[in-house]
Amino acid sequence: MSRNALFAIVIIAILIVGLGIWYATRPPTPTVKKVTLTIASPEWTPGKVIEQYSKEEFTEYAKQYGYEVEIRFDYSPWGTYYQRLSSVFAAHSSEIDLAFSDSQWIGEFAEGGHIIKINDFLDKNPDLKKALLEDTLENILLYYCVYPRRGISVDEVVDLAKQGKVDIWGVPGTADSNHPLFYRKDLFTHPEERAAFKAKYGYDLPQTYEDWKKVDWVQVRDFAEFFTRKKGEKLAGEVLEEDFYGIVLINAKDYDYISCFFLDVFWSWGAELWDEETMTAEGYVNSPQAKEAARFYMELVKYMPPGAPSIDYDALITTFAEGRAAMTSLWSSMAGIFFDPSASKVADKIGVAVMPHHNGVRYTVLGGQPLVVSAYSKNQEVALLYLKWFYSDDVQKKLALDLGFTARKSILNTPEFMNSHPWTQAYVENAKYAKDFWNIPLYSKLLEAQQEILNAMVAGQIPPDEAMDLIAQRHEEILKEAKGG
Amino acid sequence: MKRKTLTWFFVIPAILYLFIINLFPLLWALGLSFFKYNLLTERTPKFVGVDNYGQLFNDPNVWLRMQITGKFILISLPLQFILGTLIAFLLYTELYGRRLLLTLFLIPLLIAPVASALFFRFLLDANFGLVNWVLSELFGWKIYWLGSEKVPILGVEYALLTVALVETWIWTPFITLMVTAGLSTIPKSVLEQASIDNISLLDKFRYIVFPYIKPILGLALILRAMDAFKTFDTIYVLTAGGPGVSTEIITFYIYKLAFQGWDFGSASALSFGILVIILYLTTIFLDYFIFKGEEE
Repeated sequence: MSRNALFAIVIIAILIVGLGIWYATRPPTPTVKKVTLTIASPEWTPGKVIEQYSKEEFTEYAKQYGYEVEIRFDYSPWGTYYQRLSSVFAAHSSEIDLAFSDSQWIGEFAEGGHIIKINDFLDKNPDLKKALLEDTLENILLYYCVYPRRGISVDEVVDLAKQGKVDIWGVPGTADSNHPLFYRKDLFTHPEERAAFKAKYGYDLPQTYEDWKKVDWVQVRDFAEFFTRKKGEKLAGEVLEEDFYGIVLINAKDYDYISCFFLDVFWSWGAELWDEETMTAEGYVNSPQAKEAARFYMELVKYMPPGAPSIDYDALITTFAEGRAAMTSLWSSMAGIFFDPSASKVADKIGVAVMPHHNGVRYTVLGGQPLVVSAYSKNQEVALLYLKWFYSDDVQKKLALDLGFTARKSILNTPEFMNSHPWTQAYVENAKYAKDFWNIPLYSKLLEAQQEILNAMVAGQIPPDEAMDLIAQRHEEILKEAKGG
Repeated sequence: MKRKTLTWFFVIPAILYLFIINLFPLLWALGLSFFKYNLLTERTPKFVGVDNYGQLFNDPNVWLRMQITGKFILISLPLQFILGTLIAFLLYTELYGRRLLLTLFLIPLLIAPVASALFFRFLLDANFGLVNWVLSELFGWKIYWLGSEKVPILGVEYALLTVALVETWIWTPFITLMVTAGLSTIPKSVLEQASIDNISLLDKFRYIVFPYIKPILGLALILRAMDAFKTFDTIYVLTAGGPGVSTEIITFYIYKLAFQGWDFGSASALSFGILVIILYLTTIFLDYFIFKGEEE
């Protein structure tokens, strides 16, 4: 072999080895994974706002992690949302990656293995863990994210979570946690009405936000009675062209409609649905306080529009926005329409107050939904990434200012949030009184029985005392089944 | 290939299709009715024999729903048959524009029941509905159509009557169509002869018209009775079964058992109970309206 040939071979060998080393040690080429993330949501404004924002912002955020994400929201009307979600889970379908689940469904979904526990994910993401455990209202953390919650109080949930002693299944999704009281400011401050009220009841109608904080439910009945007027009578100096009602609350049988409004009164009377420890309803849901609360609720029904058993959200919003009722109560997520002059005749005449108390006890039914990850998702990694993005400070602040509710303590008391919507002050005050009902797997059966009987009570088919006894009886049967009896 | 083998070759796909689509789910549901099974929490299905059937038989909730179903059928079916038959007779006469009228009468049948129910829900709303507005303007009173007050004389809740009336609105055209088809089979010469013989209108109906339309009325009755048992969408949209359980007919209860309580065992058992009742009623109707005629 000539020297030249040997030299050429050595050069070629060096080149091959060099190329090999370069190839082996080169930085990996970033590969972009395409993912479609499907999020189940009720068909409502918060869902649309979150969808829009996710499409604008999360897609960019995910690119940092090598994902090209397409966001798709799977909407269902509220009345059928539970059926939609539970059917998808029951079929073990991967068509949904994340879901805004109602807080009471967590037990059913967790027990069935349909959603994933996020404790490990939280441990790997300290910022998210900190936001969830240290900057979230404790009652929302407990009711939205923790299962089982038996024996865990609102006061101890954070400590237990920090010690890793509770199972966490999601982050607050739409923290529409309570419903304030809306009233007709123009009527409550009208001099003639005020004088007439004082003459009849011996005390003043509330005027300021602070006045309303002192209002007892019993006074709400007085207000409702006072303002209920017939067509042709005068109201605030004007002759009424239609009947006018003191109060409008939701009593329809669908889903959890009536329970969400009845329980405001029920809990404020000091009644309880059950003993969570012993899983007993008898003696709780039909206690003397419970029966008194039911009788009181029926007093309020007298001052509601006719056809009270079928008042749903549409009917409530129409009645109040048309200027046909003096007071109502509604979730913050839906209240925007009251203040929209194109949809409400009373847009500039509405005041917002904290939920009334009864003898110093104040509660409001917890609303809102945690955001959970489906156990059948084929994109769990991206779904968890979405969870992390969704609960980050910036996203939560932006959504809070847009929607008018949040679970984050650091946002709640900022002037920016307080001034963002007419109801925020009452929302913040109410939030600490929010209380949830059962979240055990048989929740839907308990709810169904309660809805059916409360609706019949409002329809006058069952007297209040008997209604509460019937609920106790039906709940006992269901809870017996839950206990494996 | 022998003719018999060839026949089987063509028939087997249809039988397989029938088995997969109809029989298999039916048998599966029958099997399920012997188990306690919650699909969502997925505890292991527990074989309970005929316990589900026994519990349902002794459950006052089921009997209450059966009563409501009975009332609902007893109001809506006769109304549909009377109105449907009258309209068909009207259209059978030499009425100007009868074809156009028939098309117009059929419109409710062409609209999805969910849409019809929603439309009536708005129309009949207690406070903002058009019907109550008209009543209030004309007479100064309103009716709470979806309420629990009892209807004078009938003694049922307004909500149940309203659901039955909406069902009547939807399904009367079907009866009209069936009776019209029956009437078209009567030879003109027979009716002409009857007119020449001066036979009274009642006798004409009794001895000529009714025998011709009887089998088709029987068929319509079977179809409508089966369908009435299965009414769901109208009730779901109009009242959700309320107030209380006033309009909760048995199928609505089955739906609740299955998709609110996720108790598929009890829901399947009750479905089979209803299937037996429907089969029994169908046999009676078939005997009376169709086979009895053939024997005669």
